[in-house]
Amino acid sequence: MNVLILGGNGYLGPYVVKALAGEHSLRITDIKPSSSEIRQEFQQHQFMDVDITSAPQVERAASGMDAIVNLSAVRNRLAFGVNLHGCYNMMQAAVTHGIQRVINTGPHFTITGPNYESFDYRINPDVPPHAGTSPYALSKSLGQEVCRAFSQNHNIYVQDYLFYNFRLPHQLKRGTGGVPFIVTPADAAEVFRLGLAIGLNRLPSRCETFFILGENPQGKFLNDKAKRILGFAPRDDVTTVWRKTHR
Amino acid sequence: MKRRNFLQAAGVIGATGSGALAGENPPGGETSQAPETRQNQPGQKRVLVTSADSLLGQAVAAALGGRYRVHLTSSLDVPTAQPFMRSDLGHDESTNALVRGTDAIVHIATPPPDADQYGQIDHRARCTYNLLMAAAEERIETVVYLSSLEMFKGYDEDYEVTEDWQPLLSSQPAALADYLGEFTCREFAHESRLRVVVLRLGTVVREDEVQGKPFDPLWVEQRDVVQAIASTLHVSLDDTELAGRRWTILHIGSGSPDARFTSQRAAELIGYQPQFNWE
Repeated sequence: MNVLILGGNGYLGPYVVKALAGEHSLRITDIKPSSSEIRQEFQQHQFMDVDITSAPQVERAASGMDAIVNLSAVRNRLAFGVNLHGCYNMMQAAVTHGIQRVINTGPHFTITGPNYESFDYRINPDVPPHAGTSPYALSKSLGQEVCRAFSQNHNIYVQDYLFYNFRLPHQLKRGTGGVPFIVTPADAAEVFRLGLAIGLNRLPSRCETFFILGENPQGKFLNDKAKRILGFAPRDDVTTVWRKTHR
Repeated sequence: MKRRNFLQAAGVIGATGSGALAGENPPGGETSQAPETRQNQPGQKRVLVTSADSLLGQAVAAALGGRYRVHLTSSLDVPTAQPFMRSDLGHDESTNALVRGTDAIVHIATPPPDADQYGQIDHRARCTYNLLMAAAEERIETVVYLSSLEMFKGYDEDYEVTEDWQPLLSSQPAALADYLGEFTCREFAHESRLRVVVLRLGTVVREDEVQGKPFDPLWVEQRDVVQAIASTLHVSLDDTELAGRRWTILHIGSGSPDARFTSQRAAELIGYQPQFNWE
């Protein structure tokens, strides 16, 4: 499958590229050029400088692709440009080129902002979105609504993967604690491979949201939908961070 | 065309039933209110009106001028006798300065005339965000946001669609922008102390413009829209049921029995009684 990766040079990008590189032909794009080491390691794939806020650049990058993975994210004053308009450009490009499969990403509060996180347990991704009013959260949530709007009006299937906190395996130490929504980057990257492999007819609708987290023991946020539909099976044991240090 | 005396009953206009609404000046071009009553009065609440360059913005500003201290803003320079500050509604202190000391904001949110797809969405989403963030920070009481009934056109016409029905999303920039603006407002109503009233409007027309044209059940006359905005402010800033709500949506259509959407809730909550029905 020809896969366009937008924002491929961010935190998660290299992990996703590594997870997909063996099975797909990748066009790895970002506003900042990839390092020579990355280009060398994945030299059989394409690299392109793309500003996601530029509709013509995104449309050009999407030419000839079968799927789009959007890893771009900005938390500063440019948040609306990248997180909202970037999604609009991506979905327009998908329409233009007849691309049916789109994977969008964001933080968990794209859907479940403070009004959920501060109050509830067993929080799942199929609830009415309430991002709250931080510019990062709200602009990401608006971007997701754009994806939903396009999926309802065009033959495009959007999977939205939401994350919260990434920990590397060597950081999974007893007593370190953390938010109840942790996953390792390698486990997170694996879900993209699953999302590109799944038959579109196996998705319950043309717009589905998934929480991507390891086996967090608190029951605060749930990953069961990703496991049930995508076959997500996190390998790294993140529960260690909430275990007592004296044992 | 039927004309009723709702505005008088609601206290939005004077006993003559004219003058406060744009385009309704009595013969001679004078208003029913003495000029001095249109000046700032002690204790008058202060209302900011956005999109002052638009026809609707100008009509709203004229209508509210007798009752409130109105000040205006737009991304374009607008010649006006009322206090005016040009603003791009950016994410900076100037937007806070714009809203500071205001009791209510009427956010008309009409994108600039030359706005492309990007500009339409940007104006409705990012600029609305910046305005409401400033409003929340400056402890503004009420925001009235103007949206559209277009997002309900996809429902079967036989349904009685009310404010409880979910919007049908469109990927067309203008309709999508309306929805994203509402979405943004709702988050502020959820999370901040702002009171937000969304008025979803039909297709805003002026009676003289559509004379002789086939009736469109989505039409709503501009003067009825102005009435709805004035009434919303009136009941929001007073001690009423609406004032106790953080989040309210009202559909604003014409008085025609063939109107596409009912305005019953607006009638109940703000006393809205459309004056134009094209019968």
